Amino acid sequence: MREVLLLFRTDVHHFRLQLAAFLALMGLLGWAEAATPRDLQGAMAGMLCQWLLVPAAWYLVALAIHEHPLPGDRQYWLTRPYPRSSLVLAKALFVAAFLNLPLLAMQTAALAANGLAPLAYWRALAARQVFFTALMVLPAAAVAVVTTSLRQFAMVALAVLGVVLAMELGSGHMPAPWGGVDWMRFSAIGALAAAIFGGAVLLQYVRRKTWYAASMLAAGVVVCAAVPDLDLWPGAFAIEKRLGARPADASAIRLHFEAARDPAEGRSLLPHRQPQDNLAPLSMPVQLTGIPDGMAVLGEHTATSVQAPGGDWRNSGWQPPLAEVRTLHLDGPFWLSMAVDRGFLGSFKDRPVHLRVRAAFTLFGPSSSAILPVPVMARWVNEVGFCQTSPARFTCFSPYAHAAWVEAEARPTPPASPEPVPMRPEISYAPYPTSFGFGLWETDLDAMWMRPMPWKEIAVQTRPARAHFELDLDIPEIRLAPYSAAASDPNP
Amino acid sequence: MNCAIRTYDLSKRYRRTPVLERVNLEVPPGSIYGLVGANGAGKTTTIKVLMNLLVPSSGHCEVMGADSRRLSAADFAQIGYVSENQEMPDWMTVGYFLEHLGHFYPTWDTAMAAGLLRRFELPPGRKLRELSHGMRMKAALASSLAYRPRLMVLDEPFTGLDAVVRDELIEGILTRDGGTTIFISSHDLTEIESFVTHIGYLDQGRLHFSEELASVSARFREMALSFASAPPLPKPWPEHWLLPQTAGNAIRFIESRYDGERTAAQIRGVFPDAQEVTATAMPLRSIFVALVKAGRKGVQ
Repeated sequence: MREVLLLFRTDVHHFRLQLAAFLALMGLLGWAEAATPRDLQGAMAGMLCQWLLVPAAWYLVALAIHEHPLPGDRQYWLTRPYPRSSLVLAKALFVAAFLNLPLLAMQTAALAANGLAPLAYWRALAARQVFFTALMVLPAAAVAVVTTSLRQFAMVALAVLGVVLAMELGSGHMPAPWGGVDWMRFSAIGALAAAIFGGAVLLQYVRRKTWYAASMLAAGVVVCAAVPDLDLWPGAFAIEKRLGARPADASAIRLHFEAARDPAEGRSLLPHRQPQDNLAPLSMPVQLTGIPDGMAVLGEHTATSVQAPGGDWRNSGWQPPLAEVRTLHLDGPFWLSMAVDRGFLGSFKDRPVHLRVRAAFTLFGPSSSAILPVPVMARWVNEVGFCQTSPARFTCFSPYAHAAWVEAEARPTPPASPEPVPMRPEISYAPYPTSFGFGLWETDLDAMWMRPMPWKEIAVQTRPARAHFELDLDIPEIRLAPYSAAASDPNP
Repeated sequence: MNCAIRTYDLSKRYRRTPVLERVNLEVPPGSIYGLVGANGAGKTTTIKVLMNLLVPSSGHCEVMGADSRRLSAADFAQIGYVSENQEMPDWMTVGYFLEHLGHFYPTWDTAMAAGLLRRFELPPGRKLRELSHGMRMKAALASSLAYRPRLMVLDEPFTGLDAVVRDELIEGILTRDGGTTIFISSHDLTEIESFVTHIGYLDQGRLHFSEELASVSARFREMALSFASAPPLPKPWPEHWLLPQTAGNAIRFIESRYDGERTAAQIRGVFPDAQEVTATAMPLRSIFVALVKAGRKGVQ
């Protein structure tokens, strides 16, 4: 431990000016974060600080590690009695003391400054530390241990960024949305990053195998960038099902096909194209029954299998719901969105096919509502956060934890002309926050209008998640054309 | 015998280029071992492998009884390593550098460190990056002597130094405890001839000999044979007679296995008409030059 402290002390002495500048910037962010719920200018200053702190943090990590560079055979320290374990611990202590600890202190102070008990947010603060380390510190450390100068470090860091961007752009589409279970994807990326980048750092400190460590770094970048595209949503939803608070509440819910309803209504809800061009959207009239009183059901992903006469069949795999039809429902009629193979649909749209759908749902508990007058400055809404309203903007600053379902609606003062405006609901079943930056506040609910509107009030409704479940819909004979916007398109 | 350094068939390749080939050397404890060879002979590579800065391609070596691949912090606490191309913490002042290192060596002698600073006329308050090459070498040496290492490894420590600084460094190296082993590489024998006890000659990655200096000096002689009329050089020519040349009525060569009577008998056998035979002792530098030339000609 003595050696650890000696090395740490030397690093601190050498980089005292850079550390002072970094801590000053962190202090500035702390001031901005403390003021943010009441002061949008503070939020802007905080945003700027956050942008500056990211490269500053990477710079500090590089400085600390490059003080005793690992690649090469000319460094004086390699033939001095520096235990490698002490060296890696000294660097870890440096990062903990000047990155993790100030982040924790800054966020704790910002919570306290807004009248929130930091201990009540211990889980959120701890999760932020974990993700910050896994996704901010360890990638920087992995780059630093395979480079010897800031110039090399910057070039490799830019190359890493380039690979990630190329993979995202090269895939030609955004990663499929995972909805409320997206926290598992984020956590998986965090765990992979920690394992691979952390492994590269340890390997380099223990064995000084730069080639292997650089390979691990490259593999980590590719893996972490590729994970969002992996079709692992069913597994995540299966885990979420097991984590459901009260699965028994959903046991009586049933799904029925309603052939009598006009398909045109459902078609009008569909987007013209799915994110994947080879799939065509359908909207099927169904009815959900057995939803417990006061509760509501949300349509999640669907997996659709179509069997044509003669036995030919196609399965869509699990596809995300379409935003336009993804609504919360009490007992009653419901439009279930799904996707089928576009070419297959074109061949059999006017002939009866056998349709099998497995649909995932989430059951939400009774709602809680809060009515916010317009304007209002930093009003606390349970399970949401501090909300600001004005005729031109509605913003909520959430200190991490919020309800699984949060929806807001802006209501005009009668007899003003605008209809009530529902704002896009946020859905997350995360048991902890899934972000890794420096900022304390999350702004999931944020709406702006180009001109001041005559809002009288804004209603915020929240619901907790109760259960996650899947239901089957089996229709032995159905013509799909009436339910598909694509099938009615002369040039699908 | 427990050697301070011992290598076993040590080989090192950079990609496909062999730099060291099956090098076997032994450095007795307490000796001052000079590893000599032309530039590119493999001296620095040998030392870097010994110091675990490079990984051998095959073979292995022991440094103070420990496998070089497993040298621990405790082992390095007893080893002093000074190299001309070592990267130092340039932001540190000389005084801070020594003070910082002192914490890591159980045997660090603060008074000795202060004495070395004075003796080498090193300014404690000056940053390492502001020092001349010679001053940096002196600072490196001071930082490696102040804990009385059991083994000093010096890689071309005198390169680029003026005579005064070189003498100061040599004096500093020699002012050591009797038990300290010194392993020093150089391409210039005149620098080390005066104080080494053992010598190894490395050429193109191969160790041609490794023995006591006295033994080397004893077995190399510059031979001069005079004739009434110099005969042509006979074939086959003995392989241990290096760089033969005919000049007028004389033949000259370097005998690399000189042994008074045996050499005289062999010369009489090869040159029965030789009128006069003289054997002149050679300075180490001349031996080294002869070996390099012979190596280039492929005679050795």
